Amino acid sequence: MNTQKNTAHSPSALMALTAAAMMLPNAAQADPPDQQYQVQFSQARYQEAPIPQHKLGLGSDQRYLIDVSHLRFKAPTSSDTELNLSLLHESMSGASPWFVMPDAEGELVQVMSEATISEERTELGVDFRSYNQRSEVTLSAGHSTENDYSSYSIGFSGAWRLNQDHTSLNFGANSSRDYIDATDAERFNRPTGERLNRSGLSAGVTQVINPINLASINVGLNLVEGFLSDPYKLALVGQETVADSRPDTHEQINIDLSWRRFIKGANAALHLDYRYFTSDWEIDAHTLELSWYQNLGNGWQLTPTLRYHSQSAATFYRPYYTQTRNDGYYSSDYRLSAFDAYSGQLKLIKRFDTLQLDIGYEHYQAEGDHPGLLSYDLLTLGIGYRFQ
Amino acid sequence: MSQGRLHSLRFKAMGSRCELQLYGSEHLARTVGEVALAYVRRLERKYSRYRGDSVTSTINLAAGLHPVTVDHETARLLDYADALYQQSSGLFDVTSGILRRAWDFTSNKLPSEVELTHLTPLIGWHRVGWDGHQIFLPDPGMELDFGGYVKEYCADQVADLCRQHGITHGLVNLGGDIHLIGPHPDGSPWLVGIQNPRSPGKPIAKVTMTEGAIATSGDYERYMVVDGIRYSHLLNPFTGRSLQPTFASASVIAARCLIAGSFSTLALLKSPLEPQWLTDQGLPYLLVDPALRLSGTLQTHGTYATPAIGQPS
Repeated sequence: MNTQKNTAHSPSALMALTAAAMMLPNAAQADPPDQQYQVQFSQARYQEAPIPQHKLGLGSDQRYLIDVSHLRFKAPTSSDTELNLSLLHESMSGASPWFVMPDAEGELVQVMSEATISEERTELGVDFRSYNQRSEVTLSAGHSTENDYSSYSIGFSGAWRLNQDHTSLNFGANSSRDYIDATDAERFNRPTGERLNRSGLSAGVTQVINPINLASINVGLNLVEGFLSDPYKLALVGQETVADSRPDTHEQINIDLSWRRFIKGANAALHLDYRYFTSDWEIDAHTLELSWYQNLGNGWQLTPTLRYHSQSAATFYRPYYTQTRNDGYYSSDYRLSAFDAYSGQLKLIKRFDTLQLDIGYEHYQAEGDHPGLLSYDLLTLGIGYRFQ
Repeated sequence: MSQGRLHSLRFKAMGSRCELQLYGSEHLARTVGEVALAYVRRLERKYSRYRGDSVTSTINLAAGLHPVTVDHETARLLDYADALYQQSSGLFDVTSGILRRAWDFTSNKLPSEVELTHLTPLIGWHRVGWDGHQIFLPDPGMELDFGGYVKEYCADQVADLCRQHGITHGLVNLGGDIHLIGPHPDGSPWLVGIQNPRSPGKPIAKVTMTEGAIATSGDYERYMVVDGIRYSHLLNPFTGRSLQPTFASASVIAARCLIAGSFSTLALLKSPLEPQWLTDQGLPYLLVDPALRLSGTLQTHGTYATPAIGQPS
């Protein structure tokens, strides 16, 4: 034990005492369960724009319309634990892209499914969060079901707070198993009884740089294996269509950087996020998102967000194939094509004492060679209530 | 958050009158008030000298017997005590609280030389074993007391908690140790009263503040007058005798109340030998001398007749 304590007189008492004071724990910095109940409900309408006539080969030009209802409930279970429940219901209608072919002029056109699809999906999620002064842990479980697809997932995530809560080490692991039973399997020779396993690991660091700047880096690894093809999509090979067929593993890496800066003079905060994604299907993607959280006083907050996404195509992707492939992989899914996408979003929140109302609108537009690339509008209305 | 009305919550804690002034809805103010009060009570219990189960008692009961491993918060508070000791050349010593046994300010009787000679050997942070995790008071009877700065630390923490819960306008006042959460909702400053050292409860001056913290140390907090001489609670840990500070009070403004309080206390402890010390520290301050003359870098707003600590302007 060191008992040496010189009474050396430092030239700057302010510096020495401030340094010692900085090391003290901050009661407010961490985010302990707040011992309040919260109920939140949001209703969203997601509407994909119709396929332009000059890009439509056959079928309906109407794409998905999805109505999403989402109910969330948070309850304290003890002074340092809380339970979060989430129930989501989607009802979906519209036609979906089927395959791509060149038209008489050699331009790519999208062939859509003919019949209007009508589907329901329900998802239940449970999170249990346990907190103590230096760390926290969340255990999650989820189940999602629709008539042709069901999924079970579990997750674990945690954080260690170090350096007087200025540094946080975050880590997580998750796993899910999905079961796929395509509809009209016999009629269209679609797969049934297929499985898909997903496992992921993530780790990262969040650093409070000073009271107005916060930065974080997060790295995630995901391994997906099983039936990764889309049972409802086809690809044109020569004059024939074949079922969408993809490798049965997909290894993915993502690196996320984020920076938060509070701008005191404007009573606003700037959020800048960047994600790099790469996978062994050779999809490389960059996503940049910029948000400005503007407090307007009286409980109003307006947040405009701009997002840009750019990705390269999967190695086996072609809009259509002129010859067969040795590896047997075929996919003309627009999500595997190279494209750039832009999105603009505006969200307005009004907070009352215990009540919060929000409204958000987003427009998204993708650009690339694939005729089926999306454009959508999303309108969200939310209401939240908290009580003791 | 809606800004709402001003809510005031008064309570007694750490031997002082305390007050939270929070702008917000009634519900929010009540919720935050409960969280803040629970926090203050927790800290009060944790570092109480009177409770057998407090951290302070645990350390003191092990004096001369064995080292005690302390929690993270206590460890950093002890590191802070170490910094205070070094910056004050030993005048601010967390082991000097034991002099309380000899000094009874209600008795109007000075301690005897014999009493002091018995107590001073038990004082000395430099003899305490402290390695960042374990603390060991080497002699039976030695005592540690966090009272000299835990209230200021608490004011900072409570202000942070209020901010975390969405309060952006208000102040925390723990017995005159004041941490501003933020100005009035219209951006106007708070008028903070500086107590008149010779007229309890009356301000000698007011200062305007929109942010930061202010703390005042004075010779009036506990004192007695014997044979016409004023003996204050500011004691010299080396001799055990009451210091005769050059100033009746010192007020300091800093970003954190802990810093402000440390400097106001150090200013008085050092004043007999280094009356100019505070002038050189770079923090805004106000000194009141025994003749009630004001000096310092703080802009004041004259003398007021009514108590004004934390009053809205």
